[in-house]
Amino acid sequence: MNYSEKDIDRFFERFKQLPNNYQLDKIHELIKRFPSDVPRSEPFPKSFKFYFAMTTFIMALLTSLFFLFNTNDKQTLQTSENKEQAQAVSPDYEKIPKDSSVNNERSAIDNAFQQSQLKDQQVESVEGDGPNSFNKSQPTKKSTKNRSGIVNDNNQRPGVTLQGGKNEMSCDWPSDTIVDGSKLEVLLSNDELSKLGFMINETGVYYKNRFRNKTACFHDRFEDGDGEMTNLTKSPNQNNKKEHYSTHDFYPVFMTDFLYHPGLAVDGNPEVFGVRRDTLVPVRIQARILGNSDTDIIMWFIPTPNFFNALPAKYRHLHPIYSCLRAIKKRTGRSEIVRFRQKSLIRITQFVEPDKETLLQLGFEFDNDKIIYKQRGKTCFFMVTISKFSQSIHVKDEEVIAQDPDLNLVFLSDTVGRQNIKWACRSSTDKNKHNRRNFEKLHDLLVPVKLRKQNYPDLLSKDLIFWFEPSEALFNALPSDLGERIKQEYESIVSEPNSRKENSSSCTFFETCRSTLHLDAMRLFPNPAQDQLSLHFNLHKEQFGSISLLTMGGIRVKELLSDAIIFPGKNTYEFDISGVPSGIYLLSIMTSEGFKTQRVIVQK
Amino acid sequence: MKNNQQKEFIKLYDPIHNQLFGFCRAISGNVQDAEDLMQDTVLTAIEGFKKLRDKSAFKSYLFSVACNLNKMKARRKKFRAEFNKQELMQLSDSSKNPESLVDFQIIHEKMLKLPARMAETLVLFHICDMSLEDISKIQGGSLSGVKLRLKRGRKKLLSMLNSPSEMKKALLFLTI
Repeated sequence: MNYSEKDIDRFFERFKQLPNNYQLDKIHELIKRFPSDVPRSEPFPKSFKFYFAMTTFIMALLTSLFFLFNTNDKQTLQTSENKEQAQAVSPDYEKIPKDSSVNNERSAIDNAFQQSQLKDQQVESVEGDGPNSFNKSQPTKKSTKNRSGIVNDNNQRPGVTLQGGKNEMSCDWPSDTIVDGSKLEVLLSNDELSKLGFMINETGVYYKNRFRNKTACFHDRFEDGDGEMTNLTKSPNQNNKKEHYSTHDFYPVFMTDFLYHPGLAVDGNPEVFGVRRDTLVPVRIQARILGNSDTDIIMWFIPTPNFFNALPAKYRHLHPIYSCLRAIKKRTGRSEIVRFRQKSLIRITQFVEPDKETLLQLGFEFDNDKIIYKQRGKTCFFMVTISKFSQSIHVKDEEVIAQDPDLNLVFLSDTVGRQNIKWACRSSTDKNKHNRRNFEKLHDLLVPVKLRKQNYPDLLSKDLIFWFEPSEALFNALPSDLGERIKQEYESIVSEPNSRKENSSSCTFFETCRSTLHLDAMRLFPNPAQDQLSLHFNLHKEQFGSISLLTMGGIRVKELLSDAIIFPGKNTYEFDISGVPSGIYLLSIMTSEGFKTQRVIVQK
Repeated sequence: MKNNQQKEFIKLYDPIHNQLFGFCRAISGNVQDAEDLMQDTVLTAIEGFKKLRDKSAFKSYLFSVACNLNKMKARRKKFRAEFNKQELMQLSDSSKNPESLVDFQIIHEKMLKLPARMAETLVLFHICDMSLEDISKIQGGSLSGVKLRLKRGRKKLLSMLNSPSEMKKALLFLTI
């Protein structure tokens, strides 16, 4: 709403009309009680000696207190500090029953945390964030360091900020706000991670934090050949002396993979991740920092004031944002204020789902409690064993066959493209062949064979996708009509666009067919194009979408049509591509029902 | 204080009691703080009343004391600009429209965020109905300075009311 001068005048008028609650009699009484000819307050004694004595006394007192604190056991200090900080985060910390069982303790802590969150929200819903306000990322001159080395602005108690300063910021977001979670992600360098308590050296990445009687542990050792990465766990690895303790009042409570799928949790359990993640800060640890993961991992930290102070200045604006998110969560009780798009490496929806007979033909063996798949590789002979409780690949060393295998299983993933299995062929080329980067590159042209959990409830714990290299042997092993269809699709995809017959075959099984949008009579001309590009197509129903020009690597070069309604019927677009340099591009039409790409050559 | 001085003080004070309370309430944001400020002002004013030679300047003197005390409190950060919901209750008799109540709160909150001197000028002129000359005597400075503060204060208040907050800007960036 826009205010005008009239509104301001109206405000003043109405203010004048407010009744005067302060009785005049009270003032009269005050005046009469005022002692006659006696100063209201004693003037300060101006004696220099008095001031000197007072100053000396205070200095001595402060010095003795300082020494008293320093001589105390450091551990005791840290413990008490932890306790204070715990109480700052959770005032009900003391109420947690210490003798209860682990599960009870967990739930009690969870409850206390939730209660504290509610209380914090009550405080923060009215708080002004002072120097932590949005865009005021630099700490003020009054910033001091607390004992854990974290800058704490204005000596405020963690979790509580003064109300009312000039920088007061209230949460005026509407209740139905949905925030894009990817914009809240924190990406840190090695040094910045160190400030959060991580220890990164030439031997690995280590994290261990003891706080509120809990230990959050993680390590990723880079040792040659036998390096390992642990999940975020509650119990420390006693054998690992290289881990160090962090005593911050913040620690990661969840660890997820780069696709936001929850892993193990320190505080609570993975099931509550969906409920709690709105108020947790995702810190992405890049694969290049990690030694034993080819993918980024995400640690979800509890946002405390000290946490935000430990972040680089460019991320401190997240403090009021998270206060606001918590306020909205409290106000509305909504569970998905922050939307993390569930990412997936796989976008196709149709898989080859053969029956048991076909699977047997493909070489699968069904045991009582496991599924076995054996394959000759180029360098080794391996066996995939899948049961309800585990998945593994074993190498059979006795046979090393140089010739091409009949069927070639390249990847084994879940439905979002994660490979939870370590390929056993240990030569470096084979190991790299099965990593995520190669999966992203190669799986476009592989045939996905899906085994559903519901079909094999006793053998599988989740749906699995076996990615096979397209080959005559595979096409022949599949039922004739299905094999023929996939073969046609494959040939259509690998053939040059010009040689493809119009509507010769559908394209559904290959990841490269993720252009799931079906446009009738699509024409893109001239191709090669110079300055102008025409696009004609028919659409059967109204859709919301955008059209853009991408490089072959998928980087957007130009947005030709942004977020517009594409009407049903014949659509004709003329695009100006005069600023686009020569090269091969993809014209991508993205709509609410899928997208389609078409190769375009720009020749100047 | 002698009785005749007390009587003289009361005689001078009574006509401007409402004005002073209006000023204190507007500048401090809520009734409790306003009452504290009132009491401090009166006590400080009594202390210095003997030294006041020109009794006709009592009004300016009293408001100057109130302004100085307000500044001192703001400087010590003991002052919290918090709108009291009682005000809304009082307003609710005269206005049944909840939107206007919210507007009242918003404008008052924004006014309290103006620089102290500027807010005082606005309050003294618009709520206490003081003349520009009186305001210049209370706050010091020239008449044109008061006019300028008044004009700029209104302009700034308007721009503050109409500009989206930092959090609103953040929301625009963050929302899907």
